[in-house]
Amino acid sequence: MIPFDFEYYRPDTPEEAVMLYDDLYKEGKNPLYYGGGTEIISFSRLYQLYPGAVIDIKGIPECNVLEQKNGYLVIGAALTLSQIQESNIFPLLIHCGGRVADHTIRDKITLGGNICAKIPYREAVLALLTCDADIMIQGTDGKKRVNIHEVFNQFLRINKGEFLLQVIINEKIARLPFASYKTTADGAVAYPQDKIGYPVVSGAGINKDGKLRVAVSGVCNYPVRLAEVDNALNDTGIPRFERINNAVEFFPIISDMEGSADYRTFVLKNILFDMMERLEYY
Amino acid sequence: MFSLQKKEFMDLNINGEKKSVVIRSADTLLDVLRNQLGLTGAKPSCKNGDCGACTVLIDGWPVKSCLMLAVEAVGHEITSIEGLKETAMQKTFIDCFAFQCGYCTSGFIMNCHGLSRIHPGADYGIIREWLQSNLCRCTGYEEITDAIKSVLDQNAALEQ
Amino acid sequence: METVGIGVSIPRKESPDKVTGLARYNTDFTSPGLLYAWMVTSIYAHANIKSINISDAIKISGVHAVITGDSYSLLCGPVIEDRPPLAKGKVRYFGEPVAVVVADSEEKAKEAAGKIMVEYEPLPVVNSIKGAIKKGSPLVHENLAFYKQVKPNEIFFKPGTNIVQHVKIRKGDLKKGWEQSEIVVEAEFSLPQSNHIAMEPRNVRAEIKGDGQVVINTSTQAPFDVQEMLAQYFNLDATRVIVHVPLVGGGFGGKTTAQLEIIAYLASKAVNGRPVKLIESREQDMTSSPCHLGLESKVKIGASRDGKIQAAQFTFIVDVGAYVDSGSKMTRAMAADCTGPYKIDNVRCDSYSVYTNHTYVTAFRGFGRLSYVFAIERTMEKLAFALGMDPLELRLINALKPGDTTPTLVGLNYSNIGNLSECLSRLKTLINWDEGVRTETGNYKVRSKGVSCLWKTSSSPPDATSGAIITINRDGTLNLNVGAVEIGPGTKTSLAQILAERLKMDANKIHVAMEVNTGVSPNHWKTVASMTNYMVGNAVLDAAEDLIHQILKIASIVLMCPPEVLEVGGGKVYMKEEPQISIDIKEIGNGYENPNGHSIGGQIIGRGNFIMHQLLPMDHATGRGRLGPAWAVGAQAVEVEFDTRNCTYKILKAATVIDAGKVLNPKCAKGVVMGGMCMGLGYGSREQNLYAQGGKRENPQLRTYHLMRFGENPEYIVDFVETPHVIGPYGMRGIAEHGIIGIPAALANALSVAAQVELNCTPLTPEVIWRTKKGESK
Repeated sequence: MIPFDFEYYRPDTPEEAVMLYDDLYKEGKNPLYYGGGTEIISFSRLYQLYPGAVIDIKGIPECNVLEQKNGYLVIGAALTLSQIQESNIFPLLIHCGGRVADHTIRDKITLGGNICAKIPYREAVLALLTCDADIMIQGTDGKKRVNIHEVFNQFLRINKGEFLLQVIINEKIARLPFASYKTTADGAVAYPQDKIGYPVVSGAGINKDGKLRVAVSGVCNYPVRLAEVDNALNDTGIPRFERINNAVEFFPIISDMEGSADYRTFVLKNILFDMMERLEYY
Repeated sequence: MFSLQKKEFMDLNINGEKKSVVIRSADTLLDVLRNQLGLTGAKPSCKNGDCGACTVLIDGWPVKSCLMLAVEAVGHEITSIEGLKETAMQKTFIDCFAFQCGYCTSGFIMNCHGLSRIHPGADYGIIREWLQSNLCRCTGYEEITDAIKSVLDQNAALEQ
Repeated sequence: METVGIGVSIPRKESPDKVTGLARYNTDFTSPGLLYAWMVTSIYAHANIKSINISDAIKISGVHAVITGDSYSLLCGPVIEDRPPLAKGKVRYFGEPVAVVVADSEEKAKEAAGKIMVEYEPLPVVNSIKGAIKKGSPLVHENLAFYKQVKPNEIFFKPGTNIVQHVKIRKGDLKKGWEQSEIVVEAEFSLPQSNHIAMEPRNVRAEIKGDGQVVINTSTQAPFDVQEMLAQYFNLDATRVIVHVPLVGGGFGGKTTAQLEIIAYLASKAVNGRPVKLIESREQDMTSSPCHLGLESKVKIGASRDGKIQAAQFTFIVDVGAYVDSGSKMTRAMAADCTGPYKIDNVRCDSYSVYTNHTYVTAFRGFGRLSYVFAIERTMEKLAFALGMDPLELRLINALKPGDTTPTLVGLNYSNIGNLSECLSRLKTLINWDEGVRTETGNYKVRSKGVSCLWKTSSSPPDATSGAIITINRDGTLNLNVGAVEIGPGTKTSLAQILAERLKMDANKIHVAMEVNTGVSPNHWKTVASMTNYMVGNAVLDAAEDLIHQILKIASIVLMCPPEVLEVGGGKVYMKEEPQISIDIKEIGNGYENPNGHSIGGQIIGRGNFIMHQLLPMDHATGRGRLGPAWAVGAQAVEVEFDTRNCTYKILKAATVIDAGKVLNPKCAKGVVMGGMCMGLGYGSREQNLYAQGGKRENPQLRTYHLMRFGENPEYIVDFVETPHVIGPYGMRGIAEHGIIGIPAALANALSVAAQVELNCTPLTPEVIWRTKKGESK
């Protein structure tokens, strides 16, 4: 139950959405783009957010596409994580996005919502970082396609009023062999499907042209892929354990109630080791 | 462009009927179902999406009604536990003793019912993934496992 | 003749309602003119309240009243009156209710609550048991000595400290015991506070009628207690307080104390008696309302080489949080059963309650046993290792038997203790104990098993009572009216089964009133302590006797024979020798009309009751006494697969064998035991109330407070031994709580074997095991 009112809009076109944002912003209504809304609703209930208006992007056709085009996968920001999962279109994204919250909530959480959320983990981003995804952004001056590494640094750094329209991934990269793991704080992990709970470490990796690329959540307060880490892991001149030890040094590893920094380091090392095994990268 | 400024009459398609209700834009579907439509089968428990006691189906898919604005449900088919009539899932929950206090039961049944419709041949991995969305504090989950498996087996038998 | 009585798995009577959404819980009701309340709760664990500014809140349209602790001078508590319903002067825990807003809608109330400005002056915080007992610790209650004690000799505190209860057991000659001990082991244990998490959060509606009648609708396990408490606190005539309780969405002990009801009453009073609804958010339910105790303990056990325990010494220190509530009673119950179900002739136990700046505690499934059993069962494991003995064998050697005595010197016989040895023997077979307790299966994996034993009796007041009323309908079906609340285990159904068995009729023809209404339902102490089927069941049997007596009286006139030759069964009264001569009960249940029109009798109403007997309060110096009528004993085991590399584990199997006396409804009984086991696995592996520095609660939500989820449960193995408790209905014993009690210990035993380290705390997360293996303490 949200103890205040806000205005709700569901525009039909991207252009309408950004113009609306601009107007609402000027009126001082502190508008928010709204995807699945799960975070906006739960944060508003606890007074951690006070939007004066929300702009639901689920009515915009471009945000609902799911297609293979010219060697690229195009995934609309308003698709739910469940829809993506059922489509079977991008296995690594299915793995990473498929362990956010729980199955029923993934029927509501959208891809765009997860990428732009405040929660530190945002595991869908891991797939995009490892696969060098492009993202399509809608602004008042039109659409622009940029590489995720240009705009994602701890969070998606786009201008006020802009919003995420689509994610675009090179199909070849999306089909590469991958490794994906999540560890939670709980003791009883009976099946790999048991993934409810915030991650101590959640990691995704691919082997592209004989080079390992790794992105992780839970380790820091944001999903991250670091060039230094990739370089250290790919430094094949030295033994594997040493590479892993070198790589983890680059993360500012956090401590919280889900796990202390030294425990997270321990788990991260095991996960990196498992990834290398899985991707036959020695 | 569809919009709702503050509070308006809106039509909700609930359990196959069209109902006109006053919706405040910030109202969750859970609150509207319970407070305005008297459909109290969906239960408030965590109101934070963590427990699944308020699960309903939207176009056949389970959704936690505490994390959905009522206005978002406009134009979609909402099914609450009150919309299920003598389904195999309900009967099997009784036969399997799949509840004790019953407070989580509506949510579990809705999720199970949705699952049995969307993935009638679901294996245990899918069952597990779907049902981990709901918490039960009374049972040890064994009877609920029996119930969903039993209904899916009945589905499979019907197929053949 | 169809007979469906005890020993049959009939589904809960309220099942059709529970699968259709038609089952109504207290949260589901509304009433004309209803107002809504929202609580402002403390953001400090310990602070003086400098001021509360309500001026912005009261200005909001739709707000009717704001109340604060300053509005009243009242202290509450079932044992010692130490708790203001709303904080007054200072707050003593994070989440403590500070003010309440009453408004037209929940939204308005919540909005206004957000505008109440409370100015605090933080005080030093008692954030752990160690912190509470250390010299010079800040005091949670400065005026402890001046609080009213509800009953004499219930509580023994140390003025000027945070120690609010001290219970002693002095049995036998400890010195002699140590002399006879060739092996002595010792260990310390730490278990955190946790939450009940009934799926229905605590909630209440209160209303004061024009004539002063107070109507409370609440989700409670203790309607008659709520009635009595409200009457007492507000100087009302108890019969002018009516408490209604529909189906309750889980309790686990958390709904045994009057808390929200008091606040809701005050809120209604502030708006001239209009009905007010107060529902706690999940976050409030987890921080403002009482939780499950925490425990630090120390156990020392000595045994001779043959494995026989000669002496034991226990120190229990219970974190009761900021107020005592029933914490002091659990502290006492733990002392009374301190040895576990083992024969130990020389015992010393000191069991303390200490105040901290944590959420206060109340009853939780097992009433404290869960926590101390962990300590003794881990120590038994250590003793077995030191003796080089099989841990299960060690338990068998020491299992309590008829002729032994308990720590409080209750003499034991099969009726009051049952048969633990039989439980252990069956468990041994069921879990293939002889195949070995530790097996390396390759790829860093180890399979291991751990066992534990449990026992529990009730801790009811010596005069706890229950009543039952049976009426006959015109169609020959019966109505059963009792004061027990239906919180999930199927109590109402098993009571119908008890009655059906006695009347040799179909339990489906017995209607049980699901709602409890203190205005019309017979009394029942509280729906707690696994005592409901015992106490109310006995009252039902008493009422059945009364009913039968009346039926036979009328029937003997109709059938023109002495009542002694008649028998009741299958909805009829018949002649024992010639059953074909009979009359249907429906013909006489509401009066019998002779062919000439002359009628006799009238509606037959059976009434019965039960009262606890022979209970004896514990002696303060030695602990001698008797807290409950009988124990239910049991043996439990957990099997895990542990990953030695990353310290994660799967729980493969969990087994329980309990001496249930007589199983009334096998599927309900198994379900309740499995539910307890699952909760025990949750507490053992992940559940804990986390308090940050300063006492702020860190995990008051279900995404950060982890529960067992679907599929994480193991394969359950549940079996029952049936040694009758001769004064229990059909020999039954209460077992509703017991499934949880030994499970955390069995889990820790299995994991300790697997990881080859001593794991002496919960929750056993992979991180805790990893740290212990590294040689770090928690």
